[in-house]
Amino acid sequence: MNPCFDLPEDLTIYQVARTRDDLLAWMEAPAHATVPLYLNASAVQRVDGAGLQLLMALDASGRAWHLQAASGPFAETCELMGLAHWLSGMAQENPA
Amino acid sequence: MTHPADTDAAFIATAMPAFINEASEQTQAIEGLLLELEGQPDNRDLMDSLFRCAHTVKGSAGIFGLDPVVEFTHHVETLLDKMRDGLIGLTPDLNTLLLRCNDHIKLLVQAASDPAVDTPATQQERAGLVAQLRQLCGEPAPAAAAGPADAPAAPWHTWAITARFGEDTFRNGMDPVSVVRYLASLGTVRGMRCFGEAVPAVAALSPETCYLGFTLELHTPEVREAVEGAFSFVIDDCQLDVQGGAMPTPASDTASLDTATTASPSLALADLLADSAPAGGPDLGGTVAGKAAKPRDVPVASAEEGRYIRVQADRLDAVINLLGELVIAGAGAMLKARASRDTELVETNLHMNRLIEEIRNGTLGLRMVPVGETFNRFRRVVRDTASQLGKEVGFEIVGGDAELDKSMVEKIADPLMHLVRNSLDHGLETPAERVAAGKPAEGRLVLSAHHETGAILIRIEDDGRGINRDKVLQRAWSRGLVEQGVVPSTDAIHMLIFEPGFSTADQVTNLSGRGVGMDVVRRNIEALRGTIKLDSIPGQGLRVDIRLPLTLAIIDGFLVGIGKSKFVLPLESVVEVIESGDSDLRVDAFGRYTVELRGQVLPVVRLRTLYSLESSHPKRVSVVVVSSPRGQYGVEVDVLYGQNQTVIKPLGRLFKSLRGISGSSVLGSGEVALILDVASLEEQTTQSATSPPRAEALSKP
Repeated sequence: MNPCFDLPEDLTIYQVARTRDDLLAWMEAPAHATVPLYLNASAVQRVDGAGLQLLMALDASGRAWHLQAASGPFAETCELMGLAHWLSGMAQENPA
Repeated sequence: MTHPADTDAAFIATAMPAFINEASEQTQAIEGLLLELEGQPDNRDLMDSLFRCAHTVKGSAGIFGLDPVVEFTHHVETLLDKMRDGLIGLTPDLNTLLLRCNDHIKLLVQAASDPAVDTPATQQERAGLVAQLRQLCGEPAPAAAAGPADAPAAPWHTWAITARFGEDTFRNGMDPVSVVRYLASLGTVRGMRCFGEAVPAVAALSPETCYLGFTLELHTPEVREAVEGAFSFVIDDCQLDVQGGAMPTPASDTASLDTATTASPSLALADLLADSAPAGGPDLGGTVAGKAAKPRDVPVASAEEGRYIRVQADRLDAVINLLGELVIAGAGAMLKARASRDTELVETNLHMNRLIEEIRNGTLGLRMVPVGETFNRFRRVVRDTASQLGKEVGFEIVGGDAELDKSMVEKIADPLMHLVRNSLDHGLETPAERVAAGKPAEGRLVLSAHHETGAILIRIEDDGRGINRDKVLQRAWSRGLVEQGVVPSTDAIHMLIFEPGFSTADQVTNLSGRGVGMDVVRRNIEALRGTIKLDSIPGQGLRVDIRLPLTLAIIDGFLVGIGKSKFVLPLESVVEVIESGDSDLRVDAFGRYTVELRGQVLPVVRLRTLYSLESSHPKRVSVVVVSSPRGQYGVEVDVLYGQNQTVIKPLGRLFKSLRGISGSSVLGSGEVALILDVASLEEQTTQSATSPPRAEALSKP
């Protein structure tokens, strides 16, 4: 099992600042500095533009990242916003 | 769609007040437009504005998921669309229906925050209205909102939409995801692409700043306005481009991106975008600008709005308060400068005081709003009241752009409403009576406003039956308002209708005639330091003139002194000043002081006696002649200090009951001067005329 960052239940503007700090700390931890990042979105119940934008920022950081799991609301929003490729990555990278 | 309910709730809670505010502005506008259209049913611009307003309500209600509002407004919109295309003509009946529909939209908007408002009765009413609307449109299906741009055969459009959101979008409580969700509800979304190019790395990300944008194709029956309506809440902070129409656009979204040109001139917010679009992102200013031949209403409208800044009223009040202090401080500095006899210092001070005065005028100007907004509200009242009473009335508004202090406008609305209703109810006759009297069947009611020196004159004029002097006099005699047999002047008779408990209406209607109200009207107007005057020609009409000062905060005053006390008289009420020796002042049989002025007897108020002021009696005194609503009278004073910018401070509770004083003011020297209320001070003179002379008045002849 790859080390995995759990996205919070509330991936919206209200929590995004904290989530970003947590994510940044997690990314920069020596143990995770070189490996691809795995994110777990299975707990996400609410997601908005600010939340999606945080994940886009990962691309801009030049780090490969993959979704390990996604909740229904999260997947639906990704599809709505034309970000379904995030979800397809999940299927490949997460054979379990 | 699995949209978590609590996200909705949070979003709605954040933005709902803005929505309700906007929606009520829109319904207000709809009402005004409908009433205007009644006079000019062929006015295309009005029709377009009307459609746009209804559409905006629907669009924003859609964002909030207020389905009842969307559904109902949709029917109204469909009808308006047919009217816009000239398929259905505007008749008075139709207008009445639309007004009722508008009321219903208001109710539904209200129901968004308080569901209890929408009772079974209103639901039934809604069903009835919808049935009527559908019948008028001649089609039972609610989904056909065909725009004028498209051929009837091809009602579906493909819109290529590109949007880039401003940095503050999230902070303003808006979310691109919600916009997309709404767009998706309008039709089928294809080629959705979310721009993440502008998003910085996590380490550099300011997570609450929006860097997002998207491009998509929407296949929908909706017209351009409906699509653009999805952005109505973010339009000020969003770079939006909607292309296409009935024709399909290039299939690839990236193609439309690559062909991006500079922003088309119709994008009025282009300058705003320069800041909000972060560097490095693709230029999304516009796609294939040449295709957008149709004038675009939404951005133009918001450019107009952009010329205004909404400021909280209390912030403005704080500035005006400070300004009051500044005026006082300036006067203080001027006093000191004069005392120093340093000419340069005096000149510098003069210059400074001039600037302060300019700032004063400018700042007070910020509170000024056109009275027309208030007047327009009466259109509906006149229309409904007239039809209720079976009267035909042509209502005109003149000079609606005259400006008045905002707080004043709010306070004047009720008294005006009362006077307008009074004219409709008592003044204007029924068509039959009018024809019998040789007048046109349609009555005329004119509400006008214009500026007079330092004041605004609001006039309500009708061509009805006017005031029946004899009837008023009879009533006044029988009610004991005037002593039996005494016939006052015509003006005085007219003013009797403002006395408490006076009403000449033979029959009490639910509109007026109870005799409560007219006295309240006068009190309200006098509380605003205004005056009211009636002019009536029996059988030909009534004219009510209301004069109001432009502002409540600062007046030009005339400073006078009695002993050590100082008083301010409003400068506009001062007519002249006469010098008089003590012997010129007489006491008449009722204990009133009088002075002879050019052969006329002028009542004089002796403040020294009235307020028991301590002062040695000077040999010569001045009598300031002031004009009040009911004539002229004199105020005896010791010293005249001259003109003074007076910042009005309210009196404390302790002094509220003090008659003849309306407020206080702090002078440059730090002394307090009381501001005399010319109207109520006059009552002191007339009171002593009808009541027996007071002991204190007699003791000092």
